[in-house]
Amino acid sequence: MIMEQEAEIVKKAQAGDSEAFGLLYDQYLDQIYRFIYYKVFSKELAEDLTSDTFLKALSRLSSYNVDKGRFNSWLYQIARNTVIDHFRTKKTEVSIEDVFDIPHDERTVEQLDALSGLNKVETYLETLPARQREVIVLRVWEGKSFSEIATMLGGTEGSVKMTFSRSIRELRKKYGDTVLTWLLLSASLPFVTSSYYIDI
Amino acid sequence: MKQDIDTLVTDICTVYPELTKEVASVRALVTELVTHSPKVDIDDTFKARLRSEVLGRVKDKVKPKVAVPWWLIYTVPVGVTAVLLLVVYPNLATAPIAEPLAPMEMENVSPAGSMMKMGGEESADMWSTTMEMGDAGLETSVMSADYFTATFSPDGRSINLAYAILSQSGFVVVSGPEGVVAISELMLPGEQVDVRLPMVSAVKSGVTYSATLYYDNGDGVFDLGIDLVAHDYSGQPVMMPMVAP
Repeated sequence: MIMEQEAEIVKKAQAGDSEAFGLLYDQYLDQIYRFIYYKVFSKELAEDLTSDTFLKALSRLSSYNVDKGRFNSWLYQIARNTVIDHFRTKKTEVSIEDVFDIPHDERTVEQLDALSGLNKVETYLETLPARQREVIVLRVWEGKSFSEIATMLGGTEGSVKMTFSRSIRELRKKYGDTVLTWLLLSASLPFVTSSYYIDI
Repeated sequence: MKQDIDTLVTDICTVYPELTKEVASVRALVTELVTHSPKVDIDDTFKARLRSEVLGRVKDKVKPKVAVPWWLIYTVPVGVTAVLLLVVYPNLATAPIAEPLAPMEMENVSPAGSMMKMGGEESADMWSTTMEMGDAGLETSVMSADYFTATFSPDGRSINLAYAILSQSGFVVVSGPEGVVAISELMLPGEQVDVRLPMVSAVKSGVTYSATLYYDNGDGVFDLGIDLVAHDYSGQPVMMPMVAP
């Protein structure tokens, strides 16, 4: 969906056209669901928070200004805040933006299972700040370009590229040799590197 | 997948050329991140149910925007201010305009020990007079010590921050017509010497770029939309132009 088309569709939806909002829903449902899933690693919770996100977006649609940014950027912001609000209700003292911030003993069985499938990647992501994790997940797992991530999360293409590269450099500094050894080992045991599949 | 990994590794090595020496471990790390990407399939029943629920609410939830006439945007704040003033100072509308004070009276109301004289030609330079008042608090609160000097390397492939002094943590960001071309690491308050700025993208020879100091908002990561430009005592951004060799 190109930007001008999208702006027209949003205006129609703002005027109460349900078909127009349906187009926006179809365009972004999967992306928002995955964005949330990567933060909570629980199917049920991801579904609840995705529902909340779209219902909030709907009730606040009249406040969205086409001239102030892309619709998807606005939608991602609502999704992020919805996840943060969810964790905030748990009244933890530390700021929690996603599952990687939750202490291990407070994670659900489903979350522990899903995260264990990530193997060492879980450990790597845990050591990074939430913003860097978001950039890595969107670039590596979602295959978004730096310019798309900049639109979604705010900032410039250059700053997102810098954040990504810095994160990898930091991880390499911490885990570089371990990863290399592990990868060389797993090359001889192909099943170790098989993709982790979450059936939801 | 191999192509994706190659692209990611190339991007990283463009920003941090020194990592080309460690490309094997960078590639291993990126490969591991890519390999373990969770595949998420969304339940079709959930999608359909939510779609029907959301669309069913569109007409109830969406309140069309009310168009506000442009003149109302300007007149309402003026009107509100006027009403507030009349509430606070009920006699404002009828009060006589104060007579100007005589020079002698002016000296009496100025702070004790001050060199400030409001009457005559000496009042012309209010700023320098204020600085002479000996109000150390005022002076330190408006003066910013932030300063830096940066130069391109002769081949234009990197930028060297020869010296910088910061009052709080921040970044030096170099931008040009094509956007941001280099961003420093997070610099802590105090002096910094010989800091190399990795290039985000290549620069064009002869083009003028500007290097600007931004204060970090506390997250340690530069974000153009969030981190604020540092300003000097005169209110000007702390920045310098740089011509690419």
